[in-house]
Amino acid sequence: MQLEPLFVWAAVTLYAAGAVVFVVGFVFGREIVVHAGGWVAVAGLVPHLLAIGVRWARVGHGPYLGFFEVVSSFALVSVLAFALLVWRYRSLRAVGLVLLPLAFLLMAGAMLAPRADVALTPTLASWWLTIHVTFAKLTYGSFMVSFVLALVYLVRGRARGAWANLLEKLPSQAVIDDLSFKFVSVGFIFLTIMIVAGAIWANEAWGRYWGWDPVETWSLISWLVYAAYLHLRMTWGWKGRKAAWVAVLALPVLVFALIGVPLVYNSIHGAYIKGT
Amino acid sequence: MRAVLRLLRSPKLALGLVLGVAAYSVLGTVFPQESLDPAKAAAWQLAHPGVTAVARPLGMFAAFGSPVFFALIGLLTVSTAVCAWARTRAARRSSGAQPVTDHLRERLARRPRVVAGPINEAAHPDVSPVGAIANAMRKAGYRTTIEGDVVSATRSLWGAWASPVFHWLLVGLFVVISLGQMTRAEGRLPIPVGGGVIDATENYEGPIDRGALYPGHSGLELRARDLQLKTVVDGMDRGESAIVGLYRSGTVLAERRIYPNAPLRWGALLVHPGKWGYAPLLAVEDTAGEAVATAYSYIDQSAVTSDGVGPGGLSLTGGAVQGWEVGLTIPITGRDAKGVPTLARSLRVTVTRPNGTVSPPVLVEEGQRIEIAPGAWLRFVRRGMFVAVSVADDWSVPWIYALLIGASIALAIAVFFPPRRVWLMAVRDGEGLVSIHAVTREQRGSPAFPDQVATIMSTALPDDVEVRVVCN
Repeated sequence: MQLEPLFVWAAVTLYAAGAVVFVVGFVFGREIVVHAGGWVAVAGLVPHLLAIGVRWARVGHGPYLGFFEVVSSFALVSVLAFALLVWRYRSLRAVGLVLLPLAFLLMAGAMLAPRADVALTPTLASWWLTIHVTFAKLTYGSFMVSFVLALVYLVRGRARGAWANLLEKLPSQAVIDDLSFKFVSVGFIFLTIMIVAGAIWANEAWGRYWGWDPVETWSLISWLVYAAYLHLRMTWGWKGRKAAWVAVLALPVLVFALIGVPLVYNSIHGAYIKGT
Repeated sequence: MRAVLRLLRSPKLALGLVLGVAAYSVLGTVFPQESLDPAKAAAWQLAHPGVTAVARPLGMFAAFGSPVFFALIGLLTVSTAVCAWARTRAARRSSGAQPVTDHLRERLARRPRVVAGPINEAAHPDVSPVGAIANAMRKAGYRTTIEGDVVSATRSLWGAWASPVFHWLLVGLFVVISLGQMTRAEGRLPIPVGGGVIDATENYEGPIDRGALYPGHSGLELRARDLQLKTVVDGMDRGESAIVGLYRSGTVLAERRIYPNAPLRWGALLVHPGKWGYAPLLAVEDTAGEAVATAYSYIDQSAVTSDGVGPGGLSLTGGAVQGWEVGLTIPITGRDAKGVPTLARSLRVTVTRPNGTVSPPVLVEEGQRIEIAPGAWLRFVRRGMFVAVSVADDWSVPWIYALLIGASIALAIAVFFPPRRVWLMAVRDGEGLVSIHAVTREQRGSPAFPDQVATIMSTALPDDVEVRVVCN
């Protein structure tokens, strides 16, 4: 019996169930249901990690080649980010309203893609691949959390009635705003290291550290967009709603760079998401 | 001049340039770039003549080498340098000791950020509240000084330098990358296996990507040996590889087996594996059999047609056949069970004279020769193989690495070690009650910092003393 498909189905089922229970519990104000939903979703990490492990043992590399592996690992990072954030800041459970359904959608989307094994080519066989991809995942996780926190900030600012009551248990808007900024700051460091590692690796593999390949260019664009956020924050004093809007609008640029560009453009980076 | 400096120091300009470079880069990915795929760029331009008429003069098909891009980057570099200078001056001010002013004292007395107390001094005669808090701050990693009745606690003041250092390193990066691009060269050099070639312009195959100020090739000899079509490293087949060495006057400077992610490195030179193929050695001889000139022809092993593998070519040198062109193909005698062609030990040779006439193809066996002109013979000396390596001559790479790593570290310090200051003062109400007032300053303005200070103060004081953060 093939274990990997079993584990993948178990993970997506738990993510789906957890997301539904969490959202329903939140909407109806049932604390225990929210709690249960969160735990069910986090429990999905176990079969997900097992699926990744089984596949890793079979193909000889981590989850970073081909659409299925890449998007599946982003789903894992989303749930992990939720788990770590709530463990550290219990009162920020509301981020699960976005992160858990997102994780389910990512995993479901990944399952629609071909799951054929993608072999590691000689060009990709390098320690730099692990470093580069690890920081790519950390980048995505950090900016995703900052995006969700900014979204929560904006929604809460306009929430009325039942939604306002639901969201009142969150920390103050100033704390949410500051946390969103902190995650952008950390994500910016990760993004910088990802780009630096990629440049060093490109020089080792191809003999040039930068070639204006579309993926490279869009990574730089993402870096510039988040640099603009930090400038607006630190130099212009943009906080609150303004900063939240920038954090919300910046994430699609990064997601396009990480997932969209390799699908749209012919690129030497294409192998990592097209698997060819 | 002041107006110019003021403009360059302007955060608006900096932000505008950052977003400008981002927007321009987006355009650079919308239009196909000639440097990445010339054929695709040409086809796109043919298919979109209207847009091309506008985009081409703007340099959109070579966006990242266009004057517009260079102007944006140049301005951004200057703006970053001016901002870095301003940040350096600010860091000098903020990282040093800040005397306790009357304004600070008044703020401590009337608008503190954290308040502990009131403490009944008679009930806690053994407790020196300010001293206890100062001790707790020291345990938390703060450095404390006393100026009169005010205790100053500071932490990570050196972190104030991280932002200017980061910006200076960015400026350095812009400069080094620009200089590096102007002085680098990269091209493809075929090396016969078992032989060597000199790193010189005439030995490169195809165009050399050369910066405007490139001083010239190294003149070192590159040798190749032991070509393997399958190279297993750490359990993985890395493909074709050969041992390539760099030599000066016969002395090896560096040598290694090169394959993907394992280039040969020496000084500013970086040698990467490229394609491989067949390198028959040809000689132009006189009637007596004396060789007038010898040369390799490089035939890409992947250039397989129904005729054979090739064509390869060679421009003859020496004597009456100077400038004549030789076309070479290696005939295929059959295919094995996997469809891999079996190659003959002969060459199919055509000769093109300067007047354009082409001789009919002739099969020449290894070691044999044919007369191509009265008194001029072409000998197929021996079969051979070659590896074509990519040679990049770029001194700036290690500097770029150092600047990038330094900038990443400076960025991390700026994020994780913002300078923090706390001032503490005991405020007595004259009736035996004392409150400890604190003013806090954290460079990033984190709203959590006063809470952290309040927590430290709580640990230093008796349990019955209230510590609260005041919203001013």
